[in-house]
Amino acid sequence: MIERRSGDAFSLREHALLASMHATSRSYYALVGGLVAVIIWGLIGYSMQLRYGLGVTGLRDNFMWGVYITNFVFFIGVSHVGALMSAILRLTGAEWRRPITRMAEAITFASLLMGALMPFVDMGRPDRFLNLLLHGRLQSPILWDIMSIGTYLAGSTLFLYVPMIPDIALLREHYARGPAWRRRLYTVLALGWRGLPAQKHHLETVMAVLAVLIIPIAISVHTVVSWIMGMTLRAGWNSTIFGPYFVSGALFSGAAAVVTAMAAFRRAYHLEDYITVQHFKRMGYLVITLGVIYAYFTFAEYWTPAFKMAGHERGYLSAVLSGKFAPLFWFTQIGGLLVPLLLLTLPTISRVPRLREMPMLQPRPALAAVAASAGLLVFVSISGSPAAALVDVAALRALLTWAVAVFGVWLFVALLPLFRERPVAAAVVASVLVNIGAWIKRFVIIVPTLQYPFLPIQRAPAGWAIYHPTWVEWSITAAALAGFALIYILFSKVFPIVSIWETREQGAPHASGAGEVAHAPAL
Amino acid sequence: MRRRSRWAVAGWLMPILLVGVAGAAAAGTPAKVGLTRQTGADGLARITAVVTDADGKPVGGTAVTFRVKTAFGWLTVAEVESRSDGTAVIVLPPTSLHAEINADAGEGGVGTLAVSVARPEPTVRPGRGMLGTLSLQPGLISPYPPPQILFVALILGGIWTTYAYLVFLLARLRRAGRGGVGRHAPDA
Repeated sequence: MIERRSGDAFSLREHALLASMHATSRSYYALVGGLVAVIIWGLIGYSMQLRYGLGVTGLRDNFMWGVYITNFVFFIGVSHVGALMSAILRLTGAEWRRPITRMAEAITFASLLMGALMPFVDMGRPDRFLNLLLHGRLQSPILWDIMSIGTYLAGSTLFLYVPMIPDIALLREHYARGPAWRRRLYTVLALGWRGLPAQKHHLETVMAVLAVLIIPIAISVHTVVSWIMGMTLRAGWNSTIFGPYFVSGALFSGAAAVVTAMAAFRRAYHLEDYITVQHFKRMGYLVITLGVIYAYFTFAEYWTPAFKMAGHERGYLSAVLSGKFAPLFWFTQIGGLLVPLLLLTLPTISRVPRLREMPMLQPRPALAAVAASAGLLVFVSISGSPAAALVDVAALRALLTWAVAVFGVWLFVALLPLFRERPVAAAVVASVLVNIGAWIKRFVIIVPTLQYPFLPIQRAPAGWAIYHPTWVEWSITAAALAGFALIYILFSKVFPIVSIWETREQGAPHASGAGEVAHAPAL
Repeated sequence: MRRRSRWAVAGWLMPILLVGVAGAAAAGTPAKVGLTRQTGADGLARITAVVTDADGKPVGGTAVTFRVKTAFGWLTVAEVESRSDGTAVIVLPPTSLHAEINADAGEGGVGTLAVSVARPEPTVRPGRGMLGTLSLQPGLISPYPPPQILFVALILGGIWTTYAYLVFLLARLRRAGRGGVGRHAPDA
C-alpha cells in the first residue's frame, strides 16, 4: 500500500498537477472564449442549414458526403488512441505509458462525441433519424455504424471513468472544503472509494475486462466506418483492405494527436515532471511504427489498382494521382507521412550536428527561399494575376511548385540540427503534420470517388458536378474542432489530466508494482 | 409500237409504285410511343412502351430510349429494341425514386410521352407524426433470415451484457465502500 505523507496526501509534483485544475489565467479565458465564439459561429451556420436545407452547403445529389463525413471519419479515427494507449500498452505492461494514458482516453471520449455528431449534421432532415432506428436495414453499414459507435462510446466512457475512481476519491478529500459543485461531483463519482481490498478487487476486475474488451470494439468500429464506403461498388472504395487500412490510419493519427496534447498540457500546466522528453521519444517510436504500417497499406491500396488502370477506375485514379486532387493526395503522402517520419528519425543520426557547420545549410536563407517561392506561387495562382499576360502561367506554376519542393528539402535538412536539440519540437511538428495530413486524406478518400461515379454525372446544373465546401461547412467543421478542444480543456479542469495514483511511485526503487490497482490509495 | 406501249405502262406504274413504297415506308416510321405501367406479382414495376406508326400500326425493330427525370435533367436508363408487336419493356424496382419517365423512338423526338411512377406517399411522416406510430414491429419483425439477426444480437448482446456486468461490479464497489457486504479479495 502506498505510504501517505503525514498531513498531506500529495507530493509537490502532485500539488502542481492539482493546481492546474483550478488555476486560470487570462490566456486560459481567452482560449476558452475563442473556442466558445467559434462554436457559436458554427451553430449559426448549422441553424442556416436547418432552415434552408443542405442547399446552403456544397453537398448535392452526387456529393452526398463531403467535409462532414471527412470530420466523422477523422474524429472516429483519432478516438482509437484511447484503446491503443490504455488497453494495448496496459496489457503489454508498458509502464512508461502511465502519465499519458488519461490524455489518450480523454481524446477518445472528446473525439467520439464530436465524431458521432457529424452524421447528424450531414443529414438534411435530422428529425428523420428515428427512421434509421425504426426502419433500419440490417444489411446497411450505416446501421452497423450506429450500433458500433454507440457501443464504443459507452465502452470508452467506462474505460475513461473506471481508472479515475481512486483519483476522484483523492479529489473528494482534497476539495472537502472546496466549491460545492466539486464536492458533490467527486462524492458521487468516487463511488465511496476507500481503497478497501474488496473495492480494489472489483476495480481490478473491471479494468482488466475493459482493457481486453475495448480492443476488438475499437478495431471493429473503424472497420465498420470503412465499410460505409468499402461495401459500395464505387471506384476507390471497392477495396478489400479498407478495414485494416482505416484502422492503421486511425492509430497513426490518434498517436500523433496524443503527442500534440502531451506537448500542449506539458507547456500549459508545467507537467515537465510527469511528461518527460523520454515520453516524447517513446511516442515518437510508436508514431514511426504506426506510420510505416499505414504507409504500407496506402501503397497496397493505391498501387494495385493503379498498376491495372481498369477503365472504370481510370478517371478516379488519374484525378487522385496526377489530376485535380493530386496536390492534396501528394501532400498527405509527403507532408503528412514522409516528412513526419523523417522528422522523427533523421535528427537521431549522430552526424546531424555537423550540418550546422556547412554554410549552405543555414535555416534562414532556406526559409527565405521557401517563403519567396511559395509567395510567388500564390501570387501566380490567383486568377487575373498580371503574370498571366506575360508568361505561360501553367509552366510558371509548375516551376514554382518544384522550387517550393526543392527549397523545402533544403529547409528541412537545414533544420535537422535544431530538431535534434529539441526532440519535443520535432515530435510536435511531426504530429501536427500527421493530423493535418490525416484530415486531408479522409477528404481525398471521400470526395474524388463521388466525383467519378460508374454512372457518369449527366446534365448536372453548373456547379453541381463538382464539390466545393461552403462557409457553412467550414464553420461547422471549425466548431467541431473547437468543441473537441473545449471538452478536452474543461475535462482537464475537472479531473487531473495525468493519473495521480498510477504515477505515484514512478522511479522509486520498489516501483515494480507501482501503479497497479493494489497500490491504489486508501482513504 | 410494242416498245411505246411498254413505256406507257411503265409510266403509269411508276407513280403507283412510288406511292406504294412511300406508303410502306411511312407505315414503318415510329410516330407515337405509348407508355403504360403494370405492377407484377413480384412487386416490380414494368414500364411498357408501345411504338406505333402514323396509322396506329405497331413498329418493331426500332430502338426505344427510356429516360427518367432526375434533379439534373433526363437520365438515360435503358435502350431497348421494340418487338414485332411494337412493345419494349423495362423493369423498375418498386422503391424507385424516379418520379417521371419517358421513352422515345426514332429521331426528332417523335412520340414522346411520360408516365408517372412516383412512389406512394409514405403513410408515416417524419417528426411528431412518426412518434405516434412508435412500435417494436418494424424493428423486430424483419425480412432478414434469423442467422443474421442472431449473429448481430450475439455480438452486441454479449458486449452490452459485459458492460452491464461491469456496472454491476461498480455497484458492488460502491456498496463495499459504504460498509456493505462485499466479496473481499485478499489484501494485496
